[in-house]
Amino acid sequence: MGERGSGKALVMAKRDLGAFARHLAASYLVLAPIVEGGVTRFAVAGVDDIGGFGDRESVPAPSKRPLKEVFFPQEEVLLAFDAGGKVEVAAGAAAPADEVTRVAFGVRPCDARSLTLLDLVFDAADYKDPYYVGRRQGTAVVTFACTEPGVACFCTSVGGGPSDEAGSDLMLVEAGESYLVKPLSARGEGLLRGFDAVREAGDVELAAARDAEARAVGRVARDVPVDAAVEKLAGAFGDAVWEDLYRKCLGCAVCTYLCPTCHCFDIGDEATRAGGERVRNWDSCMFPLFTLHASGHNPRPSRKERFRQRIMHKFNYFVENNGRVACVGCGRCVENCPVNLDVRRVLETIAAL
Amino acid sequence: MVTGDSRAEITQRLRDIARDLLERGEVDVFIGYEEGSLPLRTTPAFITRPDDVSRLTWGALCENNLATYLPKFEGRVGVVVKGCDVRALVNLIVEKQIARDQVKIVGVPCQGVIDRRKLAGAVGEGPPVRSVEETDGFIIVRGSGFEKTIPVQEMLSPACATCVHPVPVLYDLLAGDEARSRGACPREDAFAEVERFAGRNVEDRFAYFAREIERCIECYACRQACPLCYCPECFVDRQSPKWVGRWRDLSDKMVFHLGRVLHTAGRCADCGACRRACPAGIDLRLLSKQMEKDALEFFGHEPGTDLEAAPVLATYRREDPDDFIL
Repeated sequence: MGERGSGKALVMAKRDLGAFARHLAASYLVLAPIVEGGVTRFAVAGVDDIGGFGDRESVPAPSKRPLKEVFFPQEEVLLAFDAGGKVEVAAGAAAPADEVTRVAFGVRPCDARSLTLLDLVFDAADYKDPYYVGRRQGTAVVTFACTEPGVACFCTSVGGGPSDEAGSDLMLVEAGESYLVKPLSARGEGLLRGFDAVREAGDVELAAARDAEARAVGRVARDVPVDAAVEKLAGAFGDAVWEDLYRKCLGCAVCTYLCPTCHCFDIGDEATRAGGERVRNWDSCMFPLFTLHASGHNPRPSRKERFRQRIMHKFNYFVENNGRVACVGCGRCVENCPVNLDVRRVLETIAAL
Repeated sequence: MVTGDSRAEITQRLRDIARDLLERGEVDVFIGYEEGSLPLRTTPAFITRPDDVSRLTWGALCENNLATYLPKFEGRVGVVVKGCDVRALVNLIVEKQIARDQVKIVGVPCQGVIDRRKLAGAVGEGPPVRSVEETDGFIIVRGSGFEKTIPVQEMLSPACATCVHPVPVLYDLLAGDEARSRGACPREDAFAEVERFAGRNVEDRFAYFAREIERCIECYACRQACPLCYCPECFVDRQSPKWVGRWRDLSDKMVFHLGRVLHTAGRCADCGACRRACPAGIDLRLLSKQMEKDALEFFGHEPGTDLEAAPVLATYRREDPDDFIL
């Protein structure tokens, strides 16, 4: 978001990463991947958490829970009401401030890219979600290029890559004992203001970063024929292949809730006698309740239709509506599916129809 | 150490059995395991053609309880079960979710399944595991610049440690030698962990469950992976009346988890599917293990071991204990 930065590459010593994190924490609320009860998620990071990043050999571990919840939380109050008729709209809906107050730090390129897809939904020309837009405009994204993509990763098959810059304001790329620091927007440049441990990158560091990027691309485990699958999906709605594809699906929401681009929600009132709140929660197309009509009719009566919906939405409907697939290849759905129903295999099967 | 039949032997027997059942038309589909798409995973395989039986595999990574696919199953099915899996299947037959003559039960004398979280802990942080080799008794994990050989017995799922019936209590065909299964846990040791936990004070215990359940993201993977959670509509999905709020209140999440545990009381045989499926790593076994203990102590009922035994919570006998009722 915002205007592009100067693009001039800078460099900082790896040991200064902790200092940079503390520099950010002095001016912004820093959200970083934090382990809570064995689960990594983006949460408000204390100085100790952030400082620790500098001691690590490599970048923060990928978070199990996706970055989306920083902008589109699982549960949020839209407004509150009381029995007397008083309605109070939650502060998040106020006109978005242009001032950056939060930094998402330690983001992976796939998660940063997911924001550019969520923007198409929540910050579209015909509808702007004030809660989302407010958070988005007030948050800068500091991304670490991947050096060691995981075994479930397939970012390069969906237009991304281990050092994809989409959605990031500042990107750090490992270059030997240093990080190459790439400001990608005016906001990214703003984050560096007052931090003097950076200097202009030399040829050696630029070359090291290029090597690291190339190595990382080579380590992305799988090349998935996404374009071919997208093409085939246009005529595959009634194909018998879904019968085979869905069979082992358990119908849980692990894939959709951990997906950085799934964005479906439900709005309901949580009320007591005295008043209540109108809340927005994540919802999942994998649940029967998602499409259950008040009449009792369900247009997606079985797991087959629901499974097909997830694939069709990501790789057909979203493409038709927005021109891009709604997937960043982060591999969370692959890694966390209780029965290893792998979307990469699904796409390969469809591409081969 | 008892290493049991080799993986290769059992795999071959499963393939032979599946081929035979399919060729003779005794089943329409055979549900077993095949290699997964990730180094530490196998995945359920639905085989309908005899030529496809070579996809089937066996090993300590065959973690899923395949009985979860059987409620309201249409047609005749062959299914691979471990000792714990079949106890869920016995429940499903007793509860009339599938007919006994619809299913060919293919048992494997179980040697325990690997807990992927435990294994991840043993491998440690750092570069990801890129390949896995399972030999009898050992698992060798490799990634860029490292290799570790880890004894399978040290990586077993916590449910395996307290398993009283590693050999399936019911089967039509057995793919392995009973005598070479993993040793059964003595019955008196099976509940040691819950007894220890029950000895803690009530505030401690509540705090423990609150901490665990707080992490719940309400994806319902536990419910969906559970063979016994087959209600056409779960109570948490009811809109009218709405029993549970979909909100950040911890009590709503608690109501779901406690309700589920009570609903599976006297039925759950601790296969551990719920815990494995949970993306938040919530300890979902402790409460259900307590229910298993209560069913045994109060009602003399061992879930899923007897096709003739009626479900504990669906029957009444005059001698049922009632001293907990005021």
